[in-house]
Amino acid sequence: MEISKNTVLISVSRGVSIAPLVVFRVFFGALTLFSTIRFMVNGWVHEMYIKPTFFFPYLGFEWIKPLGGDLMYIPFILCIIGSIGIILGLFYRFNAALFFTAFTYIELLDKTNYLNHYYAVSLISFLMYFLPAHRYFSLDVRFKFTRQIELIPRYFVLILQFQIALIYFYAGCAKINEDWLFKAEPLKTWLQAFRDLPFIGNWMASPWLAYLFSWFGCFYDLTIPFFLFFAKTRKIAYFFVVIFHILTWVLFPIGVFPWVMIVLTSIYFSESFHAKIIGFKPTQSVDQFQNAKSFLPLFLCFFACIQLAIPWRYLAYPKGVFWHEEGFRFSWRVMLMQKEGVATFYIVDRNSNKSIEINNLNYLTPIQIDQMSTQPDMIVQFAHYLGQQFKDTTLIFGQEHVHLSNPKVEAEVYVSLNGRPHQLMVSRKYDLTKENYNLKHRRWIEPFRD
Amino acid sequence: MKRIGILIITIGSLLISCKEKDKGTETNTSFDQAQILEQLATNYIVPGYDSLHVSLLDLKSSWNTFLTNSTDENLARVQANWKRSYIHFDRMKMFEFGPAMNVGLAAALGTFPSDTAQIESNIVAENVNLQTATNIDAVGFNALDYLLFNKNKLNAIKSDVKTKNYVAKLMDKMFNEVELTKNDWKQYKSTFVKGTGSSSTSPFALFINAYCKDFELLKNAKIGFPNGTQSLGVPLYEYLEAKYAGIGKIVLIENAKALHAVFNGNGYNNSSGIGLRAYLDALSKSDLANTIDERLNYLHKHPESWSGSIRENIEMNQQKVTDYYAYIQATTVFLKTDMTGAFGVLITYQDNDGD
Repeated sequence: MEISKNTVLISVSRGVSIAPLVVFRVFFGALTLFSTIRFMVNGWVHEMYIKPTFFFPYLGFEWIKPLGGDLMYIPFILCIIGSIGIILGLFYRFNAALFFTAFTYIELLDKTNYLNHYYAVSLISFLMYFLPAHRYFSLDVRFKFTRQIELIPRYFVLILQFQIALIYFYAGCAKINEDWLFKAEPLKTWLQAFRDLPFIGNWMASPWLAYLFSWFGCFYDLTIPFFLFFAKTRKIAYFFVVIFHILTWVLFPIGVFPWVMIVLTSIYFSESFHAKIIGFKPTQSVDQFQNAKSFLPLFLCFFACIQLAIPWRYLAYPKGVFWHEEGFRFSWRVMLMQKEGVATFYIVDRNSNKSIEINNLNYLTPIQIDQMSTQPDMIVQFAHYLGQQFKDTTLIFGQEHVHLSNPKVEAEVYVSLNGRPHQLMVSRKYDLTKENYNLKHRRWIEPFRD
Repeated sequence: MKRIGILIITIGSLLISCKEKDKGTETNTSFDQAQILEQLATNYIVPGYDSLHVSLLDLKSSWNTFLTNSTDENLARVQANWKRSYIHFDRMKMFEFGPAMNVGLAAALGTFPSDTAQIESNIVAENVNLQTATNIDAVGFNALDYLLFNKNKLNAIKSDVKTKNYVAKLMDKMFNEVELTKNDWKQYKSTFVKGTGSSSTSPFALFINAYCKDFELLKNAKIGFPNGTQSLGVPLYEYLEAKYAGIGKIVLIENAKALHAVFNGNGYNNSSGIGLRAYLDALSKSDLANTIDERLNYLHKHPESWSGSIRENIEMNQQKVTDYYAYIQATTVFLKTDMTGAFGVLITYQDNDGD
């Protein structure tokens, strides 16, 4: 027992070439630079962070507020500066921290814009801050801000490999469900939309292809990190990585995500591969490596454990995570469902019991409405916001003046999940201003009937 | 060896599950979205814009006749052409994408209620730019409704030059906007019929979204607002459409009929063809198709049975109108969740990892 423990410790902390870490740094910085610029060029800063008058904050992060108007471009510019600093390895620690802070700030503003790969970028940039990825092939070394090193303890590479493996593996686990495997939904719905393609259109509209993609996708996600990890299977595995992600890029509007994965999985490649890219010629032998005492490995271990645990939060809630979405986010549930909803809100005068139907467009952007209409935590947040808007207001309709002191806010929400007929998700039985926004199970969500 | 074993098991179970699933569902894989778009463009949209264009031309020429000879008879002709054009417009305004969207046709022609004070000040001021956002409720069919059907304006349109000029200006603007849209469609048609797929920028997705939007507009603007859904049940008659001419009910029915016809794939002149209904059938969702068909049918059949205008119906029996509104609302859910869900059409235009 003692021996194997030691063997593991030695194996993860032995000295390895810094080359993979350095190449990863450049690739990662290039990706974040590209995707930040793309985001700005597409006009999404305005669309998603300047135009909305109301934002959906994450629980506990309500204090994070958008900068007013065009000032919202500042965090994006900081992301660009940080990315360039990461690529060049110039003031690396500062720029890694800068990128992480600016990027995470943006992501925390509005959960409407939550994407798993944004979460991944936040996590990886957080890790990058702690990794000595600037100690070779960098301006920090060139300008002698720091000393060049050639060898690093292996766990610095392992933690990145672990992070990427985790994304795949949990994405695979999430696919082990009835809809995905035995109904091939939502892929069946998404693929049939390509029915007009020449030659392959009929296949795209055929259920068997959806089943093939579903099962292959699940198998791929569960196993690809292992196939990438072992040298013997690495080449063929990477071939599949490229094919798989390009296929998803062609078929679905998932932006830069496929490229993120294609590029970042290169962390699994051999040291010699990375050495070639940056012309790394070691002068030290790995035996000379001296591991400095540090709390960092312990911290990284702690980080890994949290990462392992977070996706299982959903087990703390009643069944039906796709329906109530409690414990849904931050769990690598990618491309798993097609949810369409219609959410209608009512401001109800407690005296007359008469109501005002809300036109959501008066308060939210189309993207926000689209996301909110199927996600209960956003529904209750919006209801609270409406409650504040109508509290202590006097409304004038022709001759009639009505004072609303503390009106009820009710919602009627219908949602269709993975091609099923729509069903009631929230009924007007509840005054949502009375329902708190917290981590407890939301009893006002109507149960899902399959 | 182990891995090969897993692979065989995977593919094996895959084939079994495919077989089991395919028994009950007869999906028609050879059905193409392009058929819907082709039929829609050729048999509905192009002839529809032609009809709207022609009737607006008639409106203009009848106005010119009225200018030279301001008789009640000639005014009646203008009014009849206005009404005919309005009906054509309500059969066409659901296509607010591509050329119509570039022009902003639906808002330019169909905004109501109109701002009569703004109209009056525009008349006095002359030479105002009618393209501005502030003038959106001083133009279009409802501005003409105020000028042509309001008994208090009868003298003005017969004798006041500034009023006459304003009417002509409004008609020219509407005609030009429709003409531009109609002409743009000549080029856009080929893009449109090839624009299949589910991406949010594909014409098919644009069409589905515009269709749902127009449906919601019918619900909110034509019925909901005047019936008091957003005012604690207090009816707001000033929000009624075409209230001077009193044809709000007629255009409501025509709008609903058009949405029904397009769903079923009917042409502008009622020829039958392939529409959204057929697509749902091909996806083996005939139950849903039947439900929507039935509901869309009720939406125009029910107000046809009402005697009197929308206003009179709200005054006599508000609950009946409220029930009708609730029926439209429930139909919206079928269109916006079940139907768009079945088509896999995306309504957001940004990246999405599907969650």
